[in-house]
Amino acid sequence: MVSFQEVIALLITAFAAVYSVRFMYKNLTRGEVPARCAKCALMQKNK
Amino acid sequence: MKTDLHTVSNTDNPSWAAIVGNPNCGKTALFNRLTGLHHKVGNYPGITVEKKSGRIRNSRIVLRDLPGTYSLSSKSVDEKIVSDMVQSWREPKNRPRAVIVVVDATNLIRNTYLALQILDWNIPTIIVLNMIDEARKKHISIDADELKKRTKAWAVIPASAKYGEGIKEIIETLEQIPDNVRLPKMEPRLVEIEHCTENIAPLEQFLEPKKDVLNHHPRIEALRLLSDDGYINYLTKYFTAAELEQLLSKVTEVKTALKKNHIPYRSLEQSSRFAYIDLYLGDVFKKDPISRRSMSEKADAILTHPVFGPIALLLVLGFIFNAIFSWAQFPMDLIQSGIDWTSAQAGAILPDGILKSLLTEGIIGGAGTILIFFPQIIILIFFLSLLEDSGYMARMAFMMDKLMSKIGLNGRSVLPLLSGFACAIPAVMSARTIENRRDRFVTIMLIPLMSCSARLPVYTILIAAFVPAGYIFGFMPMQAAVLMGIYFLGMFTAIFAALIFKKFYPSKSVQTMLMELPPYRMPLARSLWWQIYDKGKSFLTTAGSIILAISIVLWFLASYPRQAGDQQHTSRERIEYSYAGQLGHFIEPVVQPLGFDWKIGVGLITSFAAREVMVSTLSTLYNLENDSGQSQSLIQAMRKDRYPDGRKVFTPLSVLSLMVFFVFAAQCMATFAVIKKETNSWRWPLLMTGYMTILAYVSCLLVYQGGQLLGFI
Repeated sequence: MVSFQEVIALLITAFAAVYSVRFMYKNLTRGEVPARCAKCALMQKNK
Repeated sequence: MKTDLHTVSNTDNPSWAAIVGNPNCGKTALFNRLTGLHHKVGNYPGITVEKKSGRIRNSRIVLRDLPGTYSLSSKSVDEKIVSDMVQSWREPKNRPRAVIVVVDATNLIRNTYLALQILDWNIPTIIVLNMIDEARKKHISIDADELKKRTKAWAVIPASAKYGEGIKEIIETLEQIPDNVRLPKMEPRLVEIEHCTENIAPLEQFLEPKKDVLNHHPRIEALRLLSDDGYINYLTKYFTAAELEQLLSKVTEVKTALKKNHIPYRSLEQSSRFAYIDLYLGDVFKKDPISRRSMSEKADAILTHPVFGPIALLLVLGFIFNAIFSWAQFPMDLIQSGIDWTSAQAGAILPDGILKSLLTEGIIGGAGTILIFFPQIIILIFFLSLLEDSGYMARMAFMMDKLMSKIGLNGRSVLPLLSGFACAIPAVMSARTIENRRDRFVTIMLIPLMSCSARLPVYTILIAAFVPAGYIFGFMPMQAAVLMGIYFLGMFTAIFAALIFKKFYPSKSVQTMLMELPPYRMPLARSLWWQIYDKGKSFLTTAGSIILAISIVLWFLASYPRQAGDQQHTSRERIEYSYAGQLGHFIEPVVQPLGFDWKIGVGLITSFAAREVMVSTLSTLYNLENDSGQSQSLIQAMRKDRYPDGRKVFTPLSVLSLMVFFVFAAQCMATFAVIKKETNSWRWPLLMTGYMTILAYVSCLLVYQGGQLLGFI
């Protein structure tokens, strides 16, 4: 029997997993690199 | 001035103005002043390699900051950005309301060359004499009114972007320029050179009927066609195929005639413009003949000296690496205490169960661990910004210029390589300043070997845990020396890799670096603050969010599936049974020869998303494995960890091997993506990943296995 606590934890995990996959997908397919500094963000925005 | 004006059709869109200027003349600083934005500025050329836009404060005018260029000929990628934009001004709809040409007041002659080229487009041009404060200090006086009169610029404004001088006047002047204004066509600002006029006349005459369509003086078009073989591409759409053929034959004909007269046609525009500057503008600015050797020149006598220069460089780097450990210690301890306290509070409030495990072991224990390294990253960024803004980074490039040509690289490669210490992404993008395609791509291939700030947490946790805090030779802190050694390992390997590239992919041309050493400047606190703020913010938000997400996913992978009678098993047995444990054990045979256990193996996989994830991964796994009931820091857990046979997991040799792996391995998805984007091909990012992975694996194998054979542990 899955507890309420477990349901919440699994939902958070699922959300984090979707976020991670989306992040990597964007990175590798669309070339959107994560901006580690303002300069990179700006360069991408202005491309 | 208003009497000279006439208006053009309302298709013009004059609500924007362009900022152009030579590299390192303070364009971006001026742009920031005018717009209130805080884009990165630096005291070396090549900071702006892209167009940037921003609205002037309390105004409808939008400013576009363009990369620095010495002229409007398009050689490197960043110069082409300027050239392409200026060429688009042939169409009335593309013309800006005004152009701001930023001129370094301490170097007027060289900077005026570009200003004259811009002025010849007959668009209201404001010449901003930037760094006027420095010019005054150097006893340089410039007659702004006279300069305006002679160049027919819309305005000439002395300014200092650093101190805000002249900013109000620039905004007011921009606002006062009427909409849809265009200046009458003027004679180009060129001086006739002997035998030149009659020789280029056929070409000029051929272009004459098209002058209204081309919107540019036929003589300038003729000179540009002679100097730049690719320039014709800008004109093709204005000519029929037959006309183009005729044009090309005229160009060849004129080139032959000029050759006959021994006139170097490629530099005709340069000679003609500089002669104009000399003849008409030479007396506009005066330098006090008794001005003494500047402070910068005195400092450079030592700091760029062939012997003292490298010694000074080593001392500077040693100081920085030591500061990363010693200055950061107190804030790191504070953050560690904060995290321990938060974890204890969360543990006390939440009832025992899976949610408590997720929060304390996954989120706080995993992702939270990364926060501890925040002060070290900030200190590194602070010093890198300081080196850039003070002008010392340009000296580092200058000192390495000779070495670069010896290893088949370009002097311009140095700055992208050095900026790779902060992050490879902007460094790869800044390689656009390298004109030669081969040199640019090879530089891009070498940038990931420079240890970026994302690797710092991995290095420092390993060093803090396993390198004693003593001194070498009685003065050099050992931990700082090891960190410096790791950075140097990356640099020396880059040199070695460049030599290999030179052998298999030699450069066809030798390109010298024409870089003017900027004067030393006191960095502005505001500029330093914004660089640190931006970096800190993106570390906490962008990098932080993926670190958090992966820590949560990893917690799940290390907690599931559960075995029957789960509570009867030890934490270690539970984690080894989990998905993460199974994955780790699956890849263990591959990483074991390098001295890594399965937990490190999992970390190597997860750190591909962001290198810092290595630390949070180890932290999560050790937290989940800890069934002592007492909290323990990651360093303590790493020191205690043992294989089932009792051997220590982290030995000096395995730690060294792990650090070497992080120096060489191309574990950064973002770098992979940006290289693919910049080279527009899969070949280069795959080559980078391939050669760096092999290099990392073989080096670690040599370090670990070789070290063991020699009797080290």
